[in-house]
Amino acid sequence: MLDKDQLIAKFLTRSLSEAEQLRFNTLLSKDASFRAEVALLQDLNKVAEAEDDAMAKEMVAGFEAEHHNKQGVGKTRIWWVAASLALLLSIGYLVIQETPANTQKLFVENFEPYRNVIHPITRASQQDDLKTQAFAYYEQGKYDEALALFKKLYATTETPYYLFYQANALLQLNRPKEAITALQIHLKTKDTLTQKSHWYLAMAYLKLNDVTNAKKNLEQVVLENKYNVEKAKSLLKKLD
Amino acid sequence: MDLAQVEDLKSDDRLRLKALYNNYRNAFLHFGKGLGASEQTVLDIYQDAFLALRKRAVQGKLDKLQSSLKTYLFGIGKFMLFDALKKEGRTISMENPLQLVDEAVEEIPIVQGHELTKEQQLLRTFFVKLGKKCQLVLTLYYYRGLTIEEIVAKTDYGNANTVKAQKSRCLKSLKQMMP
Repeated sequence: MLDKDQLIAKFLTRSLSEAEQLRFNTLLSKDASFRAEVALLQDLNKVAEAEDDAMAKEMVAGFEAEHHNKQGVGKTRIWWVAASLALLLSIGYLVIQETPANTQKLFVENFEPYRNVIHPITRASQQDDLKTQAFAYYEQGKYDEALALFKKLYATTETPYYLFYQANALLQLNRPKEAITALQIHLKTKDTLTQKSHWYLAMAYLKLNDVTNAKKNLEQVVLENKYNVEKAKSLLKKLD
Repeated sequence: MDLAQVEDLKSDDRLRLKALYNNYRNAFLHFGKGLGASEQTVLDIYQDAFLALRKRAVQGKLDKLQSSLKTYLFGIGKFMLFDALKKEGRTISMENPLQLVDEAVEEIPIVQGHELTKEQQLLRTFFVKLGKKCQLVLTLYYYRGLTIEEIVAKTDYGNANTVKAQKSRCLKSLKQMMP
């Protein structure tokens, strides 16, 4: 015969036989502690369902996102081919003209806001919370709005990556000095994105026409050997 | 009904689920657009329909299904699409000769679940604190309806007694967390 626990489990999954249902009903009416246990486990059943639903939803959103990422990669590749061509042409132009490296040109050719790896905006993220809004603005290129929210989020949570994304937004908005400040604070935190900080600092210094500091940071990028190493090396050559 | 596919749906195996998801995605996209919905709407609904299908499988409701999984999935999707289009104030013309309907797809109505009560929301915060092992055992027993033996088979617990002990311990921890 089933014990009480097994009986309740079968009740929850609607798989009681007629006889079992009768026994269940009897216990329910006569045994107060059984009633309490059923109430708790009914709640647990609903909670487990909600957690399971949430997990599955996120997983399926991931499947769908992979289809869109594939398209994204194709576009990124085309962008990089175009950018490389532009770079080659401008190098050729510079060589012919014998003019010193144009830092603004180099900035434009090399800077790209770092992609949102913290909180990808998928179909599942229909929440109205600040974090989702902030990263949604960022992905849409609305850097003013994104910046304001990242600042707010950093103020309340002190999570380092908000500083990193602030800096990216600031660079897009042509405010390199503030970007540098944000990146320098971010560097101290040593979160996973700090591997990219020196590259973005170099970008910011380029924007400021500060070749010395740009080079210093590019050299750091090469030394750390983690991110954009080849790009840093080729940029250093151009800046010499 | 393809039993192997139903097992895939119950499995929690990300790769198997992804394969199933991708298997029907294009056909569903074609089907949905044929009913007049936009690509984004169809994709949103495809995810919802797939989740509803998986939930039915997990709750043991597909074990005796007669039709093919595809027909069932599309039936759910069709119901959701009609619902969505109705909300947009649009109707579908089923008499349009340009519509391509490859098989008669019967709608399968899906009733959305209710929100958690306040007590359940509170319980959820404790449940999440229990950690993955406890969550798994409790979910398998009290939601998925697996027997102790089935849980032994599905997890890396050695035997029935270990599972029973773990289940008791987890339930006790949960009760202790409650006010």
